[in-house]
Amino acid sequence: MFRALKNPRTLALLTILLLAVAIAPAAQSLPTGISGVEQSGCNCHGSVSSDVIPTLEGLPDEIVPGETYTLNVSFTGGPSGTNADPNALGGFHLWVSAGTLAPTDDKVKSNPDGSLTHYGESEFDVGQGNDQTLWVVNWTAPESGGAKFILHTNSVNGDGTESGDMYGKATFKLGEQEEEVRGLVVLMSAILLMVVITLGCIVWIFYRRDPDAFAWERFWPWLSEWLTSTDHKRVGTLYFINGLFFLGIGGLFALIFRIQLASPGNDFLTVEEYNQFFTMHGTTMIFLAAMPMIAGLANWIVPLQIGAADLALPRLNALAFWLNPAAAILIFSGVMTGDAADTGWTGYAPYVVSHTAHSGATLWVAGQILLVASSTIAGINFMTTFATMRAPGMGWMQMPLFSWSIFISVLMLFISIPAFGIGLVQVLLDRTIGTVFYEVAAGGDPLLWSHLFWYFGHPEVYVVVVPSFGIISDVLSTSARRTIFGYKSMVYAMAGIGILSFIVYGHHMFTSGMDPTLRFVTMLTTMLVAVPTGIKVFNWLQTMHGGSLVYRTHTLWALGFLVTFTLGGISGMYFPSIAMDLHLHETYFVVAHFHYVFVGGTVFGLFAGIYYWFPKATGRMLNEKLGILHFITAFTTFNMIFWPMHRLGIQGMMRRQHTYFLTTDAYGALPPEAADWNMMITVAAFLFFASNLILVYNMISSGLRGAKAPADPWGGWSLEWTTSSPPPTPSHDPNNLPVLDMSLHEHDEDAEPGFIGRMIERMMIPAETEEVSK
Amino acid sequence: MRAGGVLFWEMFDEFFMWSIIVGVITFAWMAHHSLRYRSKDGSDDNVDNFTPGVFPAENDDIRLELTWTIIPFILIVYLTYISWGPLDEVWSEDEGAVDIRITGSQWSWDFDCGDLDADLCEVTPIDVEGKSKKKLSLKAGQAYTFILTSDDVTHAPFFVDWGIKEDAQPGLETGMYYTPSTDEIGSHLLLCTEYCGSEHGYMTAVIEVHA
Repeated sequence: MFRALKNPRTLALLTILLLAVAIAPAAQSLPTGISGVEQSGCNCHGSVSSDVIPTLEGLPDEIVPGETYTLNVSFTGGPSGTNADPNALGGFHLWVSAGTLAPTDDKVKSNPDGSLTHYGESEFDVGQGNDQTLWVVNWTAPESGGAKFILHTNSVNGDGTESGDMYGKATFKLGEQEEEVRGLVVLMSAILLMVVITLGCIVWIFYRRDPDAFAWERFWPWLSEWLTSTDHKRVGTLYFINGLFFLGIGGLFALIFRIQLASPGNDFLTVEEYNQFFTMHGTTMIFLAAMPMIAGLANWIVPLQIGAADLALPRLNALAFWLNPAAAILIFSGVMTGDAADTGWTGYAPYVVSHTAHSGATLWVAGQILLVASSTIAGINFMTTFATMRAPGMGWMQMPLFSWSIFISVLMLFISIPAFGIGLVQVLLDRTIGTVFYEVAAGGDPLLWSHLFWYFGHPEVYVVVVPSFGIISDVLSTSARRTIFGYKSMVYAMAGIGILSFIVYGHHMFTSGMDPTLRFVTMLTTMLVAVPTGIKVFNWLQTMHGGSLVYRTHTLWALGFLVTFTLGGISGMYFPSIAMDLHLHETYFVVAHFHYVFVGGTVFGLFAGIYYWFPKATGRMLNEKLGILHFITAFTTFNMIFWPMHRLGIQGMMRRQHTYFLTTDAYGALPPEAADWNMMITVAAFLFFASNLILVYNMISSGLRGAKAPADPWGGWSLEWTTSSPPPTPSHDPNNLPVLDMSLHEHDEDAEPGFIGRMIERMMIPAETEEVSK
Repeated sequence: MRAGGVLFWEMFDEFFMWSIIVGVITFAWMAHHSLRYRSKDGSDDNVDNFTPGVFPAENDDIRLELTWTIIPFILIVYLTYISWGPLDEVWSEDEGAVDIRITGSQWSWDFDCGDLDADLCEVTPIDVEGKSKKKLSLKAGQAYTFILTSDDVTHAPFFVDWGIKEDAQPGLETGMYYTPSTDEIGSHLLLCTEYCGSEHGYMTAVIEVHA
């Protein structure tokens, strides 16, 4: 250990850590913070009531350090006043942040944590301090600083049961207060920390790539080359860094509101903060994390895979990327004001245009409009690339499945996103210049936004999951050393999902008051989605048949994806059944379902893609041991988070709510064990977040020092494996494009474009290029 | 009292059985194939002779592909069929139903009993976790039609233990139909399930069913 201390780098790190600890603000969590009032020492029984007013007399105006004060603890109100049993009147619990509390007589006892309570073994004891409504205690002031008292008093009706009893809580502050932990402050500090770490990593990478030639003068030219690049690989990397960064931020939002939900009745976040946090979690994860990560992977791999030198429109590609950080800054400037959008990621009107919605919603809408523009531009670019730049010999039906999945995904996005864009512009106008598109009193339709949003929103959720289908197809086929089973049915299934996505969106609105005919029709169409999805899952399984599955990290992720995605698909089958959806809509069952599909589908697929293509992109192999550790920890903790949510949802726990209610005498609600499940989910959420840091560490350390990667480390067949690792720029020589070798299919008519293929060719590429130029 | 109501649990049990069947088939298949067809010594046995730049040999079997198109299709036709039946019950008024108007506003519920007897419909205050809320008392065995609307933004009353919810939209009247049974005598929580702003999570009420 001491030898390690001599290492200058270790010393520098420790110094920085010590400095950080020294300057970090002294913060302290509320005693009522994580575990809630019931568990923090107050065994209060009955229900909270504002009638019970705790009082604490004898506090000085100014604290004399070390002085001992005698305090009177008392309360008024509640059933004690009319209680016939003088032996059971009430109880109290007093906690203080500084100084020492001591009992003055045998009516009061000390708890191990220094707090005081009335004497008595069980909550329904009589006598022994329960027969009082006034207790006298001593408090010795601390040597410096102020103090905060938290007092609970319980007013009892003396019938020996909890029912009818009431308790109240009061806080008293003296002198200078230590800062309390606030969710927003935690978030801001964490974001700042992430920005600093990201910038630090960039500088470190700059240094490490050539330590001998390190000079600060070269830093800016090196960086600006990245920032101004139109090369698809560099733009892809930028997209990816952007996506990973916001994956972290989105995770932070989730961690903070999971603390709030860890126990019922928690007050870690205010309702305003909580509402912003779940809104920003959804928005960040879908629009600023998942979409850029997919775009990043598509940017990197598609031109390599279809044998093109670059994307068709490189400058537009860079523009599409740079709209993303701009949008993120717009959206997050709302967060920085502390008044971020609180509309949910769906931003339902009329709430979003009502005066009760936060002012940050305007910035949220503005940022989303930029993202719509970005997606539209990226869509044009990719479709053009697919239509015109496939390598010689590669017809539509010879594209690798990852390319197919990106093609179908951008097509869906391109067709659906205008509806969202229109809705956003209307909301922006409503919020800024006072138009009345969504003002119901002025004749606005309360369902218009829902229709526009879900017409986009449902294809959108397939937009983010379909690319993962492509990744898994490529990864599983290469790992199993088998051609993907049923290539054509895979393509048709993806296309089928793409078409169905536009006619099923009504299933988000089964309880909205939409026309029952439309509800019924979307119930039928939604059920149909199971068919193409089933084909894909069974084809993947059959791909392994007769193969020789090589277990690599990406293989594990692909198998993990099959498990979680299948579970997410099965739970999805419960929603189109309207009678069941009436119960399940907006419960945690929905939350569990879409996280199984988004995280277990999209994100696990992306992870498989990272482990699969990282050697190609950087020329370095990722560390397999760390990869396997990442898989095992992330897969376990992911299921620990989301599996119990199915149960909680069916029991009636609602999403987007600041708290949840346990069954009491007064009404039936969640069973008591729901609190334990929620605590477990919160703990698992922290572990899941931490386990993904393994991936980030692995990418940085292996990217700089990993073993050199060969051109085709996994033995794949598609064209990206014909280039060197990392690939040259331009990715394929435009004057000498690779030719897809179809020699195994010489007598195969399908190698020629079929009828549909010919029609698409005719629509998208003019037969005679000269005619166009005239 | 478990949440969800009779209709929900009938459907759920049926769907759950099919989920288990599908899940067991898929995961057994996956476990078998991923272990049976693994590379025994970790060496690369290039079964289909993948070569970079060469479109690989075909691997398909139209009969198998049709099998797992048609069988799932039959299953979902069946599931659609059994989902179809309860729609009548969900979307239509029971005989002898009386109307109760529920109006949502940020962030409280307003129950309007009209001129119904106190035995059929009565609204009294109740304490829910320290906040004063409304309690709606209903009679078991009586059919009710709830007519929903909203004063400001979208809300949605959710009768947790009965498993029904419907949005209360401003400028629109929507409906919900239910007949509480004698098994449901007791107190139930009513939550708001369409996000409506700050106090959304506390926009509760208590529904009490008496004999």
